[in-house]
Amino acid sequence: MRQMTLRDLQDIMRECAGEDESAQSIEEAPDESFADLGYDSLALLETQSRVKREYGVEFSEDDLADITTPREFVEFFNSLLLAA
Amino acid sequence: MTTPGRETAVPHELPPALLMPGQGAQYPGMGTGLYRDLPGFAAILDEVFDLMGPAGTELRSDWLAADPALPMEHVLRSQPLLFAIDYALGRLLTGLGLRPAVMLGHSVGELAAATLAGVVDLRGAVRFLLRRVSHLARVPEGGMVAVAASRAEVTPYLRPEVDIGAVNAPRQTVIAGPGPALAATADALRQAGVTCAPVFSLTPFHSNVLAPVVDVIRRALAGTPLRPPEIAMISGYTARRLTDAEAVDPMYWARHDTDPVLYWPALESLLATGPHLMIECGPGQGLTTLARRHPDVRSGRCGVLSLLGPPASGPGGEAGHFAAAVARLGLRMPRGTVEHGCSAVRQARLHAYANGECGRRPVGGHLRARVLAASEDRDQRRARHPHGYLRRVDSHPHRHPDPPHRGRGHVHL
Repeated sequence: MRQMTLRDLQDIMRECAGEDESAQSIEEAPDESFADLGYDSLALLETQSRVKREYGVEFSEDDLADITTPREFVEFFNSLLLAA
Repeated sequence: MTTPGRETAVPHELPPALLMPGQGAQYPGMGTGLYRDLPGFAAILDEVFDLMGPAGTELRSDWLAADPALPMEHVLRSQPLLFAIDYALGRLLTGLGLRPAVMLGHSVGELAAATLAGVVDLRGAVRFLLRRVSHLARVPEGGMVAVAASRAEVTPYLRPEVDIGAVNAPRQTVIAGPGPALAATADALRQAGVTCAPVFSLTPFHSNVLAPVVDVIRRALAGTPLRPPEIAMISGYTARRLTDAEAVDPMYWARHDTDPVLYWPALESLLATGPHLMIECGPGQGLTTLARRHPDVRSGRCGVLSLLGPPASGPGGEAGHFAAAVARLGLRMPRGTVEHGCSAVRQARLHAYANGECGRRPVGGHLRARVLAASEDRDQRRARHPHGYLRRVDSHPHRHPDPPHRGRGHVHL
């Protein structure tokens, strides 16, 4: 399974939020909190379900309780892919 | 190169726009830290509570109590407290010399904006609000659910009695209605693969369930003098500049409870008039978080700023966050506002925040596999972000919510 990049996450979150391609926030500031990037808890829940669907990997919301930034999300997710 | 949306990148010479949050933004303990630490804020809030009479005394003690009699999302708590905190923060800022160019209120936040704009005086606004919530407390219980889809995508799924309550962003629509019909609508959306999460509310605001009280609410306002706004307002209901005729029409205000809040269209109208610095003038940072998605904020043409910070940082962080926001606005905390009643340690901390010596959390987590992180590291992170950002979806949105301080399954708007 292909590893997730920040660009992949950005594309998914942009679609979730209905933003156009000019939104480059995640790649530019991967260590900002999701809230500071404009993504609230609903956008994150939506992201989570899209990631599960697109990558076919299961994880629980509790696994993500500590994840606050895009970089952390991508690292967490790729470590799951490696362990699978 | 500007980093989109960062509070540190706020160009404070931009005309300030106050965004005033409503239902969904409330959380237990909101504003209590600033109330304890900033006597100037406490004085304005106490003025509001005093105008509410015995109901205000009860409201204040329940708000400050560790174990309140009514949950924060109850209409008798959330609505008057959101109004009071939005209004007090706005008056505090104008008292420090801020001149808002425009205001945009979400739901009950628009009443707070109207009060600041002089449409209604504080006494009249408080009397109207108390009469309104006493009627709302008697309507059938229901709720609101945030849906990660556009209004057009959501509309075909609406069951009878369920309505669009708010258009918060291109793909964030809030639906409202009585419990069973709302749950059935949310279930249908979930089965279609659409993400839903309950909003903190026991009342189906902005739905036709509230139609029977619209006329009562209009009459509650009929004896109150209404004047054209002295500060420009963007209506959350027409998504255009509030006209003088609308401002003085009791029916305009009464229909708020059944009409949807058009926050995103209103935000677009506001920004179409030029770049602004948008200030979240109320609890949390839900409205500015959504505003960060706007292309004008992404590009750095507009700035955003919250006054109390995220709910997760708790009441203890409010005074520091507020002082930092005031400093970024180029305003000065008046002598006696901060110092009076503060310990020496707190004074030093507030001054450190105001001078930008602290206030941003360190960035961490580089190139570490989160799944293998040591447990003590997890505990440290949890202490910093007690709720995290990702929460479990509650599969039963119609059920009485958990105490919201646990944050489970609910979204802050």
